[in-house]
Amino acid sequence: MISLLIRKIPLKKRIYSGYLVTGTVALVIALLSYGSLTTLAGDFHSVITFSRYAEEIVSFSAQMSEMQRQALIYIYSGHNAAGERVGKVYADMLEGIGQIEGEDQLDALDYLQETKKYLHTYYNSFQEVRTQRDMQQRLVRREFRKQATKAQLLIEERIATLQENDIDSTLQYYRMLNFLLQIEKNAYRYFDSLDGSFVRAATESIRETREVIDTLLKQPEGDFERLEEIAFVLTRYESSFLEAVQRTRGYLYLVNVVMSAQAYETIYQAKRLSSMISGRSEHLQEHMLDNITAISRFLFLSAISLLLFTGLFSFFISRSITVPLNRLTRTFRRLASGSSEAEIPEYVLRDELGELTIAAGSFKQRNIALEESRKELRHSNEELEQFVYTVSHDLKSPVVTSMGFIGIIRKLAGQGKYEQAVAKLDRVASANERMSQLIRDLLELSRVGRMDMEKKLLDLNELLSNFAESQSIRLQSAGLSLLIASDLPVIYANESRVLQVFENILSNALKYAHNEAGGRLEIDAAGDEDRWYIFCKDNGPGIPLEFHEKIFGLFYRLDANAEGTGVGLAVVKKIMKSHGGDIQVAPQTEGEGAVFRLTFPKHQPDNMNNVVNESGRSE
Amino acid sequence: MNEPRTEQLLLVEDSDDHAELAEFYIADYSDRIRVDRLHDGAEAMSYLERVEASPEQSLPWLVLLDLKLPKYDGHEVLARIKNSKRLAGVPVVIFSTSNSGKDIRRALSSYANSYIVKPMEPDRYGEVISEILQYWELNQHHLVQDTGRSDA
Repeated sequence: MISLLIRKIPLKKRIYSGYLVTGTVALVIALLSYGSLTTLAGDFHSVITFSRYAEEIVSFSAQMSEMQRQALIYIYSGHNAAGERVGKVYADMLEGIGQIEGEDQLDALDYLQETKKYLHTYYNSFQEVRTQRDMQQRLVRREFRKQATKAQLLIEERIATLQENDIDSTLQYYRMLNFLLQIEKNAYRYFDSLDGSFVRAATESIRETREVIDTLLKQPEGDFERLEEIAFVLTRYESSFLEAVQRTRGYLYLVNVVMSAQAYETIYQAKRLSSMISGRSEHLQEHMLDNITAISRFLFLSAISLLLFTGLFSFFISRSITVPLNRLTRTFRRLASGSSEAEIPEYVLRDELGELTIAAGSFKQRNIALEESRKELRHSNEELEQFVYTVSHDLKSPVVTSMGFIGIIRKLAGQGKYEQAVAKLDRVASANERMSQLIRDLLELSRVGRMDMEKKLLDLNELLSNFAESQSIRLQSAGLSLLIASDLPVIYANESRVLQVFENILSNALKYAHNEAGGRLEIDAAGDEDRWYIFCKDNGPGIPLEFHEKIFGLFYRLDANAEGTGVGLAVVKKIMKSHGGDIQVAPQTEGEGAVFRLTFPKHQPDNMNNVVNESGRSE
Repeated sequence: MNEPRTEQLLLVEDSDDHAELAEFYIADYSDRIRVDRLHDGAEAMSYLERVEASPEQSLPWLVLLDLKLPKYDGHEVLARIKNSKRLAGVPVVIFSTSNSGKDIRRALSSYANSYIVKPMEPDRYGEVISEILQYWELNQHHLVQDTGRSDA
């Protein structure tokens, strides 16, 4: 099926299309691979991005811890730098989230918003803490100190007004002053250490101070007004202290509970996000692995099938080339060995193999022509041999005669029969005469075909009427009438040779066409598609069928004692062959004379110089 | 030889000159040989057919056969004789100008009894005729097989 299809495509296109089809298949495979690998690269890029996000998110925890630490430092030390640091970390984290938000193509936005929200709340809480702390500081530094100083001044003024003798009261006031110092010391300790026990110690000192005041109020000579005033200041003092404590506890609550919770929440969200992303990343990696496996399997199968396909295709193509090529090689081998019967394989396309087939055809034609010319050569060799044989025989004959008669003459002379001997000399002479005639005829024969044959168009009507005129005396003396038809053709031939043909035929008729009613020779013509036939018919005894071939042989005479050497008809045969024609004895009816049929080709081959080497036979 | 009798010699020869030479030398050799001259192959054929057809007619003593003859050539005449039951025993001496090996081989393989080439020296013709006649005069031709003289 495939090979049938292939065989219809010319060779060059066959090879090109083979490469083209293979290349196309390879290209398709490469494109498919490219597509898969591009997807894979995209996935890989996503995985890298995810891992960067995951890293970023993991750093949130650290940043969160840092923030919380800085917040605590701020709260305990009150360093503003720590507060600023918290703000900075917050800004960094927001920026990180913003980046993920900007790049994120996944549905992690919810988690991010959540994280951001908690982070925001955390920062807001921190701001609140700062406010609370500022207010507490203000309370401690201004109000609390003011009341402390006021109480101290009131007590010192009262001590100054007391008499030297009122030792007891003075002592009580000094105790009060001491308690006040205790309160202040414990309060500041608390604000420094935020240890609740100092608050208790401070409130204990306040209670003891009140007891002292109560004790003093029970004394009759006490300055009640001043004591009331001191009690009032003490109450203000206490409330400002308690408010400061309250505020301190408040922001501590904010820091330790609220902000911690926010921080944990933020970290929790970040962890969730991170695990989600890493889940995604893992999923993507699995997908990638699957893809890689699929691609590698696809590439492997593609490579195998491409190999198979290419192999199959090249097998068919090479077979479609080598099979006819081998066939042609076998043919050429046979042709080279000279065979003219080698079969030329059938090949219809006009491609390189087609040209080769045509070349084989020409080779075969040449072999056939060679065979033909070899045959011709063999034939003409045989004829030459025959010619030499005939010539040697016929030339010897007069020699034998003359030698034989010379022997007789000698013998007769020896016997004294001189007259008889002299009479035999004529026989010697005539034998020698015949010898020279033979030699002349042979020369004539060899001249036919060897000499240049200049050919032209000859009107046989004109040629033969001139011929009849030139032969009139000879015809009259022999009593032979020559009848020439008036519709003879124009032929392409050598004039003098054609004249020689008719002359020899006439001589032949003069020798054989004897009839009581007088000799007669009729010449007429007929033609078919590519030949002219000239018929020369006499009214002699005719020629028996078995001699139709022989009479054209050299020195062949039907009547051994008729005049002539037997060269005439051989010459005619040779002339006709050299014109591409022939002479034959036409079949005749009993009692009719001999009919010679001359054949001339109608078409005139350009090259008529290749004379057919005809050794000739005769008469 | 003690009883004078006439032997018939069949001379198949187209050339009158050669025939005259043969007749002259045969007559010169012996007057007891009657020469019957036949001019060509066709004449020889019809004569032989006549002899073959009539058992009472005696066979020729010797046939002197030229090869190159009009109509039928000497080989054809030889084959005709040697293929005939009645004529096969007649000795046939081929007497021709041809010394071609082909002719000699063909004649001998057709059972020619002898192959003699016509001599081309002035006095040899008579001698050759004498030798042929002398040889066959011994009347031993029934003993003679193929002589194989290829240089004849």
